[in-house]
Amino acid sequence: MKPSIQVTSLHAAYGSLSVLQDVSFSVPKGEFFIVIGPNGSGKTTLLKILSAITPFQRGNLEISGIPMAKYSRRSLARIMALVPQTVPEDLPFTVRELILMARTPRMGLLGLEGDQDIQIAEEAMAFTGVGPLAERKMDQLSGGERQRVFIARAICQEPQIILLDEPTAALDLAHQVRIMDLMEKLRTEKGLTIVMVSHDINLAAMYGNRLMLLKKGRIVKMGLPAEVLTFETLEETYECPLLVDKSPLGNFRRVTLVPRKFINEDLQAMAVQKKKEGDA
Amino acid sequence: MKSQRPRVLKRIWIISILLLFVLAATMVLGISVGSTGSNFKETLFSLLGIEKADAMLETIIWRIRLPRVFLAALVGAALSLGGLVFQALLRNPLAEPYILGISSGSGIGAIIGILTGLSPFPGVSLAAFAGSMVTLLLLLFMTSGKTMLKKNILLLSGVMVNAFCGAFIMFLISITQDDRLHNILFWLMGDLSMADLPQVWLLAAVVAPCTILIFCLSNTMNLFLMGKELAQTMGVNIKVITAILLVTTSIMVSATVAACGPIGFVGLVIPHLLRLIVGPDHRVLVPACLLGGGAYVVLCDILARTLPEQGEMPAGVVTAMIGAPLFIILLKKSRS
Repeated sequence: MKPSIQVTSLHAAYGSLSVLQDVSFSVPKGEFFIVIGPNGSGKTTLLKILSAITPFQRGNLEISGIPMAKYSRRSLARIMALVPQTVPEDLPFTVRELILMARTPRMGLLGLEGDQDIQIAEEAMAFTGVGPLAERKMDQLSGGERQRVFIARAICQEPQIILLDEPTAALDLAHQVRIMDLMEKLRTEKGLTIVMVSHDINLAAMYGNRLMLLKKGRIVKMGLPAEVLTFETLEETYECPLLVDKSPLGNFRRVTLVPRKFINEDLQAMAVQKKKEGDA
Repeated sequence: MKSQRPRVLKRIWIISILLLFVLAATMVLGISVGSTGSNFKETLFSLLGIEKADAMLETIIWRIRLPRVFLAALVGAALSLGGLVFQALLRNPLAEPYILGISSGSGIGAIIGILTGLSPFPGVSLAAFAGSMVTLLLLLFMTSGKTMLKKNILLLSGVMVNAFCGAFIMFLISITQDDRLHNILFWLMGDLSMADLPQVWLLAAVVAPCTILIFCLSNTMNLFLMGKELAQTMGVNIKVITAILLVTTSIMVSATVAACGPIGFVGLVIPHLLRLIVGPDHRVLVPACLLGGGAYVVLCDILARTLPEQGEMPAGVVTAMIGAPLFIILLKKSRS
């Protein structure tokens, strides 16, 4: 089967500033693929290239086995949906109206929705649990509610691939887990391919099938979470003191940040010990 | 829980039929009243072909008032729709149909036409239309390529073109001394009194296809509000749609300005007013603006014709004098 996303030797630049260099990877259908990396590593640019918002200079990009250039915006919108990091604050629409708009790439010339479109929107709202919010205005929602509405909007687009740009960044703990569980459910129940950009390494460790670590536009490491999230790799990539050990939940890596006031010889000794435990 | 939501098509029909009734009522009223007094019953019978009025009233109804009322309705429809499109396109609530310099461009054309002694119609009208098309081409040239979609570039370029043309109009006025000065000022105030039927047909022929095209893009205008990037991922080719909407709307608005000069405020206030009443969906707002805007200018023109003891005031004065307070009242109500 053709992979959902196939990227080969991708190069991208803003003017003379190179953002992505020689990036190659492939995401099979139905995988939860998470891209992590420090600020300025090119994560968001990569996501924008995948969603055809930003052009790239060199390399190949195939979506479901077809080169990106062969897609019209409309045909691409039918197989791929984006959950953006930021959206305009003052959207005048209700939750239901906003979610229904996702049907646009499948509507006719006049852009009027039919019964089937309304049905699919209702299902998307039920799936994400935003049904009770249907008549609320978008500017009356909390951050977590907004994020779930935009995920419902993406589902309503009926894509095969969903791209997410840091969906948990501004959320409290409960909502972070809720959003990630929702993505997990989408993958297992609907078989969607999910590509997420995230800053949260611990969530990535627990939910991602595979991770890709970027730094300064290059791939540092790619593979299973346990392969990518090692002490050496993370310390070198993020250039900050941290601990890597095993999560009490199971065979996941856990990354702990180390504030400056804790940095002393004892801790360094501890870090070495933890590293050994983690590698073991 | 199964929610009952009226399908959007049903909403479009309900609101359109309601507003169509309002428009028809104002138009009949507009044809009935005038400086020779009001004859509502005779006018209605004459319009419906039930009973002919006396010869003089018949001439006044069919030759003078009818073209004028139709012109007012067309101008109101086109300007309201123009404002709605520019507000969505530029993502700016202060946008109105003249914001990108269309009216001042046609102003230069019209003034040159008046100064060179062209007849009011078609001479000055064509000169005005040519003037605004030159402005539009200049704007497209200035913002072509990548820059068109950059934040506010289109708006800023348009405002600059507007300012430049405005200054040029002032220059032309300052060097004109004879009675042509009065003609120029009268043109710049916006004037519906010169309406005749061929002019109305010509304007309708330009406005109708533009409105159909804009209605087909009304759902896309909804997506514009979500921001450029998200709209793109929902299948919108922003660059192409922006260009189509910009050119279509500009042609439509230029045609109205060429027909009767720049009538102000309609394009700013009517879309906002209707948004407060019918909501933010452009598929409903496009027909609502056409009908509501038409009714509004017909109504304002009636007042412009009948309020002063002698003569009449420019319709543009009335549109602003009524529109601004009305808008503020509605805005205050909707916030509380």
